[in-house]
Amino acid sequence: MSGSRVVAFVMAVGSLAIVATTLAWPGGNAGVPGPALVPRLLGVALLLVALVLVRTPGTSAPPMVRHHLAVPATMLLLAVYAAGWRVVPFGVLTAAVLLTFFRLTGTRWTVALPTAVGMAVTLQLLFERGLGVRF
Amino acid sequence: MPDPSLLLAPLLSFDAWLYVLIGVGLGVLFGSLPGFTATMGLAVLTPFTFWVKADQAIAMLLGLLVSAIFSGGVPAILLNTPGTPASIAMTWDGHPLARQGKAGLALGLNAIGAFLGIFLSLVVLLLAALPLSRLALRFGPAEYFAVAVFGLSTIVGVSGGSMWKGMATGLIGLLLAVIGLDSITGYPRFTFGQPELLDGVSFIPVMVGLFGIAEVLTQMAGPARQQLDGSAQTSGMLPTMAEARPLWAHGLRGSLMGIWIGIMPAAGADVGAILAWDQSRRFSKTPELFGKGSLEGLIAATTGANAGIGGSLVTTLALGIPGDSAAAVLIGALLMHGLQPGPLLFRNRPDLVATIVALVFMASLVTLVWGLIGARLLAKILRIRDQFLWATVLAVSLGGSYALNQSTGDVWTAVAAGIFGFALRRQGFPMGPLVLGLILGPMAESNLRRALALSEGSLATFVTRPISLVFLVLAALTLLWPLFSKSGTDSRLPDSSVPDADTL
Repeated sequence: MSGSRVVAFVMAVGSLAIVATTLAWPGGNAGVPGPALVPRLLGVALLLVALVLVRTPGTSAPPMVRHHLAVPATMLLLAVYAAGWRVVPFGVLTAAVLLTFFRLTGTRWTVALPTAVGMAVTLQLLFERGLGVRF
Repeated sequence: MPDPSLLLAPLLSFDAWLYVLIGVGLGVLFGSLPGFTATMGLAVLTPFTFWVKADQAIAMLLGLLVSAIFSGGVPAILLNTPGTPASIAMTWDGHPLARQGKAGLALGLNAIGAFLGIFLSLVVLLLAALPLSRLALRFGPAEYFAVAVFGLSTIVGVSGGSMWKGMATGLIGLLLAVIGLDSITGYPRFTFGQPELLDGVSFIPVMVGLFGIAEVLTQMAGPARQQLDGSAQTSGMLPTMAEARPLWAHGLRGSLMGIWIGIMPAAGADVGAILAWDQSRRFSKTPELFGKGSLEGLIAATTGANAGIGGSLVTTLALGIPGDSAAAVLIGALLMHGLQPGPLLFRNRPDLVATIVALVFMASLVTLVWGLIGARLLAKILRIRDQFLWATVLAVSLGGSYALNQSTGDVWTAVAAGIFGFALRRQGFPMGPLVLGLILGPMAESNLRRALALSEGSLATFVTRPISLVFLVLAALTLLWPLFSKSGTDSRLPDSSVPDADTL
């Protein structure tokens, strides 16, 4: 099964869940729609579109020509970054994440370390001093 | 037409020039680098504009938009790789000129053409202001709903060749827009007991994720961009009188084509540039030179692409319909500052409309000067390593998402939107329709329900009111258009390495 068909299948299942959820919501009165109508219609429409996509011959995604491991690793890194927010000091967290990212994408230690630290310091100054953001 | 004194005020403001300069600087960076688009720049910059006044924010964002579209022509000319889809047509004659040792002239024409196209499009925007403001007085919920439906129908146009996939992402955008408390009854929808979701999905982190993080991940997985070999000469930027004389007609024709295409929702600057180039070839005395280094072809493509900015602003500001992804992000930024683009904007805030016109003019002027004297630096930007740019975009995107509300939930939203956007884009699902749905969804739903409440549930209200009927007919025509138009690309057009056509 092609990737786009998998996505369409997930959309179809999701749209069914949406329609089912809206069945318990107020439907409106005297011809004036309540909060359920629009999401329910959208759910049905998404279901129909997803079914068309499931039946359409899908094309495979373009091959990943580089950074095969770095792309999923970066996604994980971003999740770690989000999870570490307010737990680890912003500057330290940012420097560590940037350093890891640079190493993942093939940058030498000698370039990656000073660049990551420099960028983290700059961002901390920009956000905390420049914009008054508290981390 | 707005009061001339309103147009003059930004021109005399030091602040306005400063923020336009900042925007132009950032736009040069995002536009010059293939893959780093104007939309991405707008999405990344928008959270940071929260800390400045609305007019200063608009100055930065418009400066970025104008200069990014112009700067996209630089790699198109020097590397045969368009920096933005709007500059695809510039590769056809710009790069052959560079290979003939006339890179400087091509870059100069790119700058002059950008200024000419934008200037003429602003004249049209000013002329359109008065009739649109009169029309705005007749708008009620039914008309607003019809306008929103018309805007949503343009999903077909911004789907980049896959209508069903575009419709799917458009519907996802509409569904995301209903999350939170219902604006009419206060009923919580899809909040799952989470208080963070009561206000709905934060628009800015979603944009940052879809156009910033997803774009970086997509670039990481794609082929490395071509590097500049340093052989391009960037002197001799102005054409001689003999060279310039026949170019005016082509520049004017290209501008008019770009304005017209820009006004039409869902037909962006890339379409304007391609059609302008094609029309110019038809009227040229030397059509055989097109695609081989024709100055006429280059000026037509450049004016066509840049004139689309002013044309697009007509529909974006007057109707609140984003014609492309960049305009959608711009509308999001305006909403963040409490400004609702749409029919009432011309009536209630003529000062803002005048300010926007003046700021676009200022941005085009700065871009012209920068384009003529900063060509060497522009060429150097192309040598920045990808890794540093990716890291900057990722860190700034997440930091900006957090900074807006100082909420870690927004950071998670941006990360989730980035991964979601990357996964869908890999499978050919365009992201433009999702943003369109997210923006127009609330407008469509609330006005549908208000109109039905006023008409006591009668759907006839949408077809018995003339303005509403016109927009609904336009929406139907837009949806049916693909059935009547020829599919595929014009085989007579030169080939080019085209970046993701989803974004500007």
